[in-house]
Amino acid sequence: MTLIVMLLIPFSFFIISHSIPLLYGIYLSFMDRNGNFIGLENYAHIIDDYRFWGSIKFTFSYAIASTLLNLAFGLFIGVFISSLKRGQNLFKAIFLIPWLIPLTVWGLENRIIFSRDFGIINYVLSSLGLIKGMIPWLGEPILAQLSVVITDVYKNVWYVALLFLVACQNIPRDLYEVAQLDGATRLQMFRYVTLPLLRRNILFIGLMLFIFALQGFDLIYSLTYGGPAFSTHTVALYIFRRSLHYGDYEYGTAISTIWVIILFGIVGTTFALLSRKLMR
Amino acid sequence: MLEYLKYIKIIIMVIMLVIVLFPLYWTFNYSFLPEKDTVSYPPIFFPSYPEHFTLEHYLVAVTKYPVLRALFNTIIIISIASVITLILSLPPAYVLAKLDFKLKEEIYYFIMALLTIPWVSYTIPLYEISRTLGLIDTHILLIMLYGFSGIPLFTWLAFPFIKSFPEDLIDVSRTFGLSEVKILFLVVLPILRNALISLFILRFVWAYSDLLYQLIFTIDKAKMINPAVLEFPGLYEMPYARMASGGILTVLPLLVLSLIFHKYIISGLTEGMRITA
Amino acid sequence: MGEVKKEEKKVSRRDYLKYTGAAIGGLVVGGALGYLLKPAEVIKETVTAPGVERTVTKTVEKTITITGTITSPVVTYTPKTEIKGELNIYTPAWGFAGTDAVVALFQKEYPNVKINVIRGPSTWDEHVTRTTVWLREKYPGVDVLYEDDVFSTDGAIMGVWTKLDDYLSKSQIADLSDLTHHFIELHGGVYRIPWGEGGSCIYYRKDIFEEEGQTIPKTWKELVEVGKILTKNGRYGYVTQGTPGEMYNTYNEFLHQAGGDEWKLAPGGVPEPKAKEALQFLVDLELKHKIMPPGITSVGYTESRAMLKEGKAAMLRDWGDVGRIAITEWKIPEKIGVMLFPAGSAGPWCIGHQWGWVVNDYGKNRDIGIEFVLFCLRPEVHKILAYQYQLPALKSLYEDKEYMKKLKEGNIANTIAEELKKWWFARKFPPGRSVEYHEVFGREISRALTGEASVDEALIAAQKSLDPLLPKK
Repeated sequence: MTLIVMLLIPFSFFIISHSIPLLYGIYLSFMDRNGNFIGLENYAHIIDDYRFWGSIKFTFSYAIASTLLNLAFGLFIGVFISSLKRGQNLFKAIFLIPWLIPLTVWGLENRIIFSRDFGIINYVLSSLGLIKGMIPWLGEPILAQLSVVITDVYKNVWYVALLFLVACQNIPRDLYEVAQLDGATRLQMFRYVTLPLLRRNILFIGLMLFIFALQGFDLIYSLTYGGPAFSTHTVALYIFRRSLHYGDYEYGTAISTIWVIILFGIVGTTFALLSRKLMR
Repeated sequence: MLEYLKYIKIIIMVIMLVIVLFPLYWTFNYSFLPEKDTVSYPPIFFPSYPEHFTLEHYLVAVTKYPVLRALFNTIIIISIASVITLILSLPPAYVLAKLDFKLKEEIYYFIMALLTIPWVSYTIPLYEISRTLGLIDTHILLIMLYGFSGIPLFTWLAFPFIKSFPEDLIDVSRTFGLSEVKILFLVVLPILRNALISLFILRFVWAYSDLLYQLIFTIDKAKMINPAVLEFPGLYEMPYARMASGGILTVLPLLVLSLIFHKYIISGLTEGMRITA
Repeated sequence: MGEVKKEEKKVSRRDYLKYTGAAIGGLVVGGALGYLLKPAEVIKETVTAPGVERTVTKTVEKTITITGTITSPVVTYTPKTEIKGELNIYTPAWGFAGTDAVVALFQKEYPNVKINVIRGPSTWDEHVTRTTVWLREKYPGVDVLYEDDVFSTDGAIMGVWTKLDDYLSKSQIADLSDLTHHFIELHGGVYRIPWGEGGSCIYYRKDIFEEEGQTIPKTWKELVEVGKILTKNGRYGYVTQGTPGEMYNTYNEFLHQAGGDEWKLAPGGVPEPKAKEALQFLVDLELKHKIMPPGITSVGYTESRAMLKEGKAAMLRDWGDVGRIAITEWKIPEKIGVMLFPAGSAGPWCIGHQWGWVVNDYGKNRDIGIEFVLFCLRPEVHKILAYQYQLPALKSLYEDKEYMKKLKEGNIANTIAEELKKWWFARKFPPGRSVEYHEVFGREISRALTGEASVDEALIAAQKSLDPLLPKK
């Protein structure tokens, strides 16, 4: 049947290359280094592993913060540009550029920019007289976490703005004209015309941003490598570190299984339910 | 009052332009500065010839580091992989969008839920399996990994494009006796060419920028660009200038690509961001 | 007619430039080649290498391949063309220079061996990942690796590195330094051919010290006093490496200076007084006296070295290579001085360490790998590697007065070589668990430095993680 050719066969490529290894990984998590079966012992160690729970906390805070900021600023900028009479095409071209830069390069670039002694940010801030000493952006735990979020938003907000920009351009002009005739102010038009129409897009983009942010690896690896004293460790980096850095593959698959359960379980089902609600 | 508004808008536009382009400009600037100028205070804003200008970093990047080889590997691998991803994602998207069958909605949500599985979780078991098969550090492995990993995501992304394709054309083709596969490839896709190109570029840029698989599965022969550029930070000093030149070299292919296909990217995004009330 | 003439003229001028350019280019290239390919002297004589006596054709030439290092007559033997095959050598970035120099020499003597140098990462963390994975899976694609004390120990115990005892003569083994013998004992045999040995020390900016009228601190108390005076205007008195990978070393030095024991941080859950004294001292440098830059836990080698170079730090704790690069790369040897650590209650202890070649017993080309590492044990080859490292690991080379003089001139740290050797200690790695052991310190001690945990809590947590790794009595 067509279904088999067009749905099952392509998907089986994914299932065989990714899903089955995932199950193998779960199987590995019950072993120890020498291949003996040890049941849930690896999982028992996870309970004590405060670094793991810390990285979960940071990953979620980072994902939520960057998603919200990206959405808010992106929406604002996108709507702003779409309201301009000229220059929209210019911005459409410019906004693509930060998106093109791979996160690894972006992380390296920002390591230069955020450097305490040699970076441009501290230079500008101190020339403007706003700070007295040099701020260790990547040196203090909390500042480093902040810098990571800033770096992420700085890169992604333009792409989000671009998406909202093209979305706004899809809104028929007449709606605005009608609203204007009815005496609506700019702000009211935004609230009652633009926002409701963009609702699905906001959700779609937001969810994509959130899911990608939760995977956070590339940026952290190149910007802070887990940051001052493990403060900017995301779960992905922690799993990588425990498995390949320490050579403890089994423990690594155990943590990653827990992480899969958390993400797939909580986020996945919320995602599916929310989208279902919107489809109706 | 309203005239001031116009000027404020222009100022905001200019500020935004500067902010957006600044990091790229800064990296570009640093890549031409002699190394000692990168740690000078105040920072040097423009690589003026002849004092503050040098091409040595690019030369070093290309000769002492395997950057060119990595770029070559990456472009080849990602191109082939992206084609594979699209070929394997479009049929499922079509099936879900245009055909009717039992469990359709459940399958759709299952695919979406698959998207939330973190990539890290695939890496360790995949590493063990690839090692046993002796595939570590081979081009074919990375082509397969990047080719297949994107299937759920791109099925989901291609879905709205196909869904909004007019039914009538499809019905007509059916009456002509064309099979669904033929309909997809001979009728739907040629018309959705713009969307196809933008999806391809999307996949290309995403896979190109990915670090995880490139770092874990390549060492030397199939070395790819992201791990290669991460080896630039040195031991003795922060070679900001060298890092910058590596960064520029990495971004260059993508910039060129986006320049050529700019129109398609934008039209693809516009299609995808359609409003439905 | 006029047009044709003009074109002719244009073309001929361009041609003229082309030919001149080619001629100049040819001269330049010819000159360079001539310099590099200067013919060598060929002498026939009987040479006795330790343990081996044979008649060879000796070629004496100057080596110019190494940048910024010594040039000296190097003895090579007739090429062993009968040995064919491949060789895969792995080195992280800090071994590139030495590896390239030695590989070039080896290639001359073994012309039919195809050598592939796998260039490794430039950070310790990534090197750890690479080696850990290869160790665990007994990767056959690498034959010789440049490894340090941590990995040499683990690999030896795990039986992944080849035991080399049978390939060395008694006199060769006797010629190895005391530190090397310490590791031979720890590993249970000769598993590593060292490049050399070195010690950690403190580099300081002579010009800054002079400006502020300060002398070298000789005790912990003096370090704090001098450090405080030197910390001003965005400059810090003292900087070290605080990243998790380096925390072990940074803390361990202070621990030994206080008279503590690595394995006894908080036995039975009670912080040991000396361990506490050392950690408190380190933490105070950062949080109380503030003579170290804030966020020391993210400062690695690149940043700390850049700080010394740019005068943003007056004192830097580091290894022997800084003494060399201050001369060859930074080119400011007159500004950089070196000193022993200020003495804690137990003395000015520093870490003695060795990196060297290990042979992967599972490597495809293991036998050629063994030939290679033995080649590197020849005194004249060892000289090249030891220069790259810090001090030689062969006792006989210490008799070579001229060579020792060259080492002192080439590396600022070697001016206090005797004192360093007197006061260095080897780290106590639990064989087989060295990597994890190393990481425990990074994980737990860092928390005290960020203020996240108190000194007591950090020590207790560290001991708790250490206990399962330590060998049972």
